[in-house]
Amino acid sequence: MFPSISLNKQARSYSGAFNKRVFLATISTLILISLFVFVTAAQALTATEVAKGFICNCGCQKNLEDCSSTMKECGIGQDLVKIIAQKVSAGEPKAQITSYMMKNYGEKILTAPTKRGFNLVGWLSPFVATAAAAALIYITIFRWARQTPKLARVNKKPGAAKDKYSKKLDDELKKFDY
Amino acid sequence: MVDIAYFSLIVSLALSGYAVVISLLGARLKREEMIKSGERAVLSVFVLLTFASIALFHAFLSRNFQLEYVASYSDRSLPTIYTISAFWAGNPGSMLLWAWLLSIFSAIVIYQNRRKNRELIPYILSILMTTSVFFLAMIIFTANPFKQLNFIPPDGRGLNPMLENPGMYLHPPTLYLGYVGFAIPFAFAMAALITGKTGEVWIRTTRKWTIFAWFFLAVGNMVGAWWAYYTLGWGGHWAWDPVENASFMPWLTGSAFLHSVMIQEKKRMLKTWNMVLIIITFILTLLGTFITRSGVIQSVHSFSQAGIGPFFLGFMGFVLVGSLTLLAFRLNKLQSKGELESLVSRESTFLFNNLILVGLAFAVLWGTVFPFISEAVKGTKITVGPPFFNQVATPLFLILLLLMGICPLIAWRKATPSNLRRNFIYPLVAAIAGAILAYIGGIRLILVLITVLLMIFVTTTIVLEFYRGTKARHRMANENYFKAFFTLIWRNKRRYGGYIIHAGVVLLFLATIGEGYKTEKIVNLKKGESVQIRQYNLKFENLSTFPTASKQVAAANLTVSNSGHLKSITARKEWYPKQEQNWTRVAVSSTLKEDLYIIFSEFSEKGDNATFKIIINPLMIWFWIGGYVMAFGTVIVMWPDRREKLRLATGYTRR
Repeated sequence: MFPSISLNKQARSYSGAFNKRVFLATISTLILISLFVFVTAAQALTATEVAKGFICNCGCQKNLEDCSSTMKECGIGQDLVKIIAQKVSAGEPKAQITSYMMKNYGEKILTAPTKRGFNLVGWLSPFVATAAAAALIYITIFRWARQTPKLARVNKKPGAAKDKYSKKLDDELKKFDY
Repeated sequence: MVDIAYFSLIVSLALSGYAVVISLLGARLKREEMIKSGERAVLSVFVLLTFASIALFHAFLSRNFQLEYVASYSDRSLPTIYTISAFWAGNPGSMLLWAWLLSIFSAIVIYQNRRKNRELIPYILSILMTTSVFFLAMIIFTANPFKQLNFIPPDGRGLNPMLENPGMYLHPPTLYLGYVGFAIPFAFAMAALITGKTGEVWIRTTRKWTIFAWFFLAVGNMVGAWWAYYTLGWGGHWAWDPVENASFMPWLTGSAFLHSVMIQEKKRMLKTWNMVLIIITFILTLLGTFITRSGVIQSVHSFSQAGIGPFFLGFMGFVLVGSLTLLAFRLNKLQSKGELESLVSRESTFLFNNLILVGLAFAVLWGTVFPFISEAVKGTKITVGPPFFNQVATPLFLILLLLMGICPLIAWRKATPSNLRRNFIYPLVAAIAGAILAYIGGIRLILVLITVLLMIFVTTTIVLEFYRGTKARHRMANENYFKAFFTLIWRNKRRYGGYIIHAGVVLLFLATIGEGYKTEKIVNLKKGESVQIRQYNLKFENLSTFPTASKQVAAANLTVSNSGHLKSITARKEWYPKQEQNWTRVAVSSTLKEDLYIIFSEFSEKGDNATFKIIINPLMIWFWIGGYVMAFGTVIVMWPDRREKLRLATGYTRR
């Protein structure tokens, strides 16, 4: 009734390789999505877009563009946007405008921290923590799968037709479900 | 009445403390009368806090300005509808709402468990009442809503204009229903740890509570987004503000918990992980209240006072250390009995779904607290705003969407190559074809194309699940397809309600696609002048200014012509002299395709010209529709199900 040990081993190694392939393919896709989205953040091109990179320090918690265009009574926002517009029309690159703003108002003026120095800890920690947890889950599942009693798997050759008992069980479960 | 209400708060505090002690003693000494006494104390707290809350409502409605809280958050001109919602406009009322809801839920728990879980009940009540002691102590010593002034002011200071919005009717109470709701599964979990009954009973008993709390947190977040969109007037609905993040984090971990408990129910696995998740979720609900109420983090949503922060931090520390210590003591009782056969199985995808949800919660928490970390390390302040969260969270959201599609396609226990081929072929083909069509249709933003691909993939898996289920029922029960479809959902509410929730999430993603195609324009128009933006022609008709009891209003009347259809809309600017605050009321015209969003920025003294910021937000309405679909799915999941009860009672597990 039971397949031979060698067949079982073969099936298990085939199953393990298949598992690993699927798992690695999934993880690679996920990493690619993450990298792609992370690297392809929109680049600012206009004065409006540049102004969106700075926070208004009037206390409204909006970015400079949103504050100055919706709250005309916010004098600070209006003045800063004018300065940015002048610099953009003078052909100054975004990096230069950013360093001007940081020099005068501190790093706090940026809507997001720079991707330099200690700030990289901020940017990368969520990804590193998630990747580390993913590795931990992988190892845990791998161990669990190995610890699962042999009898529970012994008669399941991957891709092969199910025996009549497990087929019957599945049919019963389907009835119960639907 | 006010004095009696204050006294009832003090008695409630004493009774909550009594309930903690007597319940624990009763459990320890196995004295039923002590346990009953604890229950009666809890019920008394519920009655007293109900009285105190009614007294506060009465004080607002009767304009009792001798109460400092009433004078600070209302005035005679405030409409009755907002006078009622002023209850939760400030710290004292919000904390009372927390404590009141907790007492209501505790009373329901006593009623629901009058004949079951008797061993757990004293511990559950002592945990709930410890939380009650904390909130009541905070109310009495730092934020007393019944504090009286030694004079009666002729009028109050009025409500913050931002809070004069229908959203404020629903947003705080729904969020608090969610926050406080998670206290119940937490209390059951801790009671399970204390008694060593760490099986599935606490999870089954609290499943509805968990869904209830999760649902209201979702509703609270949606209403908050709706309020931000219509009230804050910057053209968006989610700004990754610390207070928004605070209510989003427990929703994420709560979602992870809801998925993870399914594995424990079916496979008797992940017991420790589920404990960790409910502990994290409950602490995040406290953190949410702390961030909103302490004022430690600057936010557009923070209507708070300083001074309560250290107490909150202390209580959160106490809960964290206490619950983790309990968990550590009971680790031996939390060993999994289940088996996991393969890396490629539905169980594994659930684990990875949990990873991404918790990873997202961590990313949001990290971004929220990173300014403090940076200041401590570098000594310089930084801002962590939307660009950070968008870049960090977007990949994780997309992975979550992918997993949402993969999960239903992979078999429980173990997936074989043929199983994967059979299940993945249609969704994959549909997704790739959809993405190609989107590209041909002119979509060039790669991020949008990825989202479209994943959305179609998930939608196809959901449709296939319904199709296969309906077909199976049609074949087995000989029902017509229409009947088979509805019976399928009715007999498997949890499963198919869950898929409907997933469909709602897909619609939320659909709405976010529109972000990439937003159009913005600032225009200055003279009276009678028009401007053309895409297919819209906007004509500034006139400006009318008029005073109301509490404010000076400037209303800009515009006519919008959209492909021949004419519509009049009004954008307003309001000046609240009492609060010395300017406020903008946006005009929004919605279609299934897009929202026309008009912000009235400024106007000339004569009123003959005005400046508007006009935004076209594509697909925006799908965000709200997605919310309704999610709510509909949750109602189906929560609907009482006799079969489900039977299934759980017989200990059925699909292995």
